[in-house]
Amino acid sequence: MSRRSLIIGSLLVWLLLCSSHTILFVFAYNIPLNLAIGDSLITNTFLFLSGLGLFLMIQFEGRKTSGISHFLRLIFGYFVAISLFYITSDPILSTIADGKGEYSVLFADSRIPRLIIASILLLLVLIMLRLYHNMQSLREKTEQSLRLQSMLKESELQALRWQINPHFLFNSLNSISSLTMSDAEKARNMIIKLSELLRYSLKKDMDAMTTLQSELQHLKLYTDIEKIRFGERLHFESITPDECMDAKLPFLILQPLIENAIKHGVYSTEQICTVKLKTQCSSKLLEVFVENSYDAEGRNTSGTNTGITNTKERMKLIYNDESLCKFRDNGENYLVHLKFPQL
Amino acid sequence: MKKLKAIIVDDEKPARDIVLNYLEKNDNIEVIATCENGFEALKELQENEVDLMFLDIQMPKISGFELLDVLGENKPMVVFCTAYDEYAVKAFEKSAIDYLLKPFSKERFDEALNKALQNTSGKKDGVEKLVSLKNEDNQEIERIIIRQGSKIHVVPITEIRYIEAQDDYVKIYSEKGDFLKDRTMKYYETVLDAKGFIRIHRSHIVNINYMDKVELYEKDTHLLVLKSGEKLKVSREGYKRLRERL
Repeated sequence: MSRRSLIIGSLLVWLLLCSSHTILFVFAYNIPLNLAIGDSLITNTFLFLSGLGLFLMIQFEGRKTSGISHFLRLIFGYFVAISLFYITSDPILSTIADGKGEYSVLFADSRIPRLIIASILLLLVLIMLRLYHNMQSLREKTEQSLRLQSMLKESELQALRWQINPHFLFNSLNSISSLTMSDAEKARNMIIKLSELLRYSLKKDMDAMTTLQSELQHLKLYTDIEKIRFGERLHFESITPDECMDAKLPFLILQPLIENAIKHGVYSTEQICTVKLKTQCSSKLLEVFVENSYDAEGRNTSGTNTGITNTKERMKLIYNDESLCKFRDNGENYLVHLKFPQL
Repeated sequence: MKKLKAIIVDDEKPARDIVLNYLEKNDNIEVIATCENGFEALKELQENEVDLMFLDIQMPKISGFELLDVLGENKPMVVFCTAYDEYAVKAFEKSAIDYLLKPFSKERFDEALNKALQNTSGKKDGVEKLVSLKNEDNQEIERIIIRQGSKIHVVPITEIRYIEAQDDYVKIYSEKGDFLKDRTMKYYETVLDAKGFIRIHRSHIVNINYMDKVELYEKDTHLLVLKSGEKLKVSREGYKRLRERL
């Protein structure tokens, strides 16, 4: 039920009340038509306004719609609405009824029944509005949870894409396929490395933190596999002081950077490409530098840097600080500088 | 039957080895070379007659597609071998014999090989050619690969000052020197349009970044002066386009 149909519905109810009120007065109590219409309009309009007051109260009650205090507020609002109806309509009607013979008698007699009928009608209004509100918030909740779910799924997929680049996987499998013919033991080694790599990638969730040591072990597997593929063309250096090994950083944050460095380095030149990983740390901060050489001539600028963008995004999500992730490009080397605060 | 001469072009040694191994058992094919990149392949293709080429797509500096581009008409039959499935359509537009996704089985490889053996004429028909030209024009490019004899030049489009029509060729004036290329002005006008290039005349396409000023030449014609001092005529149409863009 939309808000529009709610408004139209309540106006119809109001019209129905007005007309039945008038008809009752004219035919059952022989009140002149103009007086009957006036009485009906005044009474029902104030009743309608009180009902509107209840509606606004429920709308602004907001999220917290359970508990005893909510119930008490509803009761309080209900009595306020009845009182408002009585205080506003009664003086006006008694002024009109003053000295109008039959109508003035009827008015005096009808005060109590009027109040009772108004109370019952307002109670009905209150119950219906409360149900309507319930229905609405239920629908909102379902929509929200659906949206959340789809966001969650998307981020899970994203996480998977971060972990395993399909081209890396298929090219590695192709190398293994080749090695099975020339060097079975090397092939077996590569399968084991690839399995360990996949197992590591799949075992934790992307929010988890890990130690530099386990990230570096993982990177070693990764670069070993890449070295089998690219041979002498890829030169990988890694320098890490022992005291940094226990420093904490987000799970799998480095692999996409190394992957990116290898991709842009190796494919830009037919010469040797060097990828360097350097770390330094203090008690408060771990810093990681990933650098790759490249040949500007062979640089392919289209469709690049998803690894970099993802890393930036993750660093921002995890640490809520954009300054932790820096990039420098001097035309021969590309350098990524990451800072991980140690808590 | 005459043996087919084949070369294998792939930057990863294991990937070359597997094709080599599959081919060694085949009596119809003779592998005359394995190449690590497009440059080696070009050298091989110039020095020897090659019937069939097994070609990787992502390779150092120039891709498999860029290699085919500089080969022009004189290319052998091509079987692509790649881990990327997204280039299949483009590959067949380049009239590839087949498109193998790594890792591939011996059976799948033999299937591709049979297609090549049945197609020993190596001639592409006119329809395929037409398709290829039409679709290529929709792509934007980042650089132009130019072949001078056995040398390949990679010219990033940011280093191109302007392109000039010269009969059936175009001449590319760049910071790396001037090169002739076997392409049409229409082609470059389309692929360079979104990259900051404007066609100012029937025979000139200019890089906006290298423009200096526009001078009045005669009553209706203007002259464009580049930062390098070169002066180019601007047609009335071209002048309109210049004013729209700047």
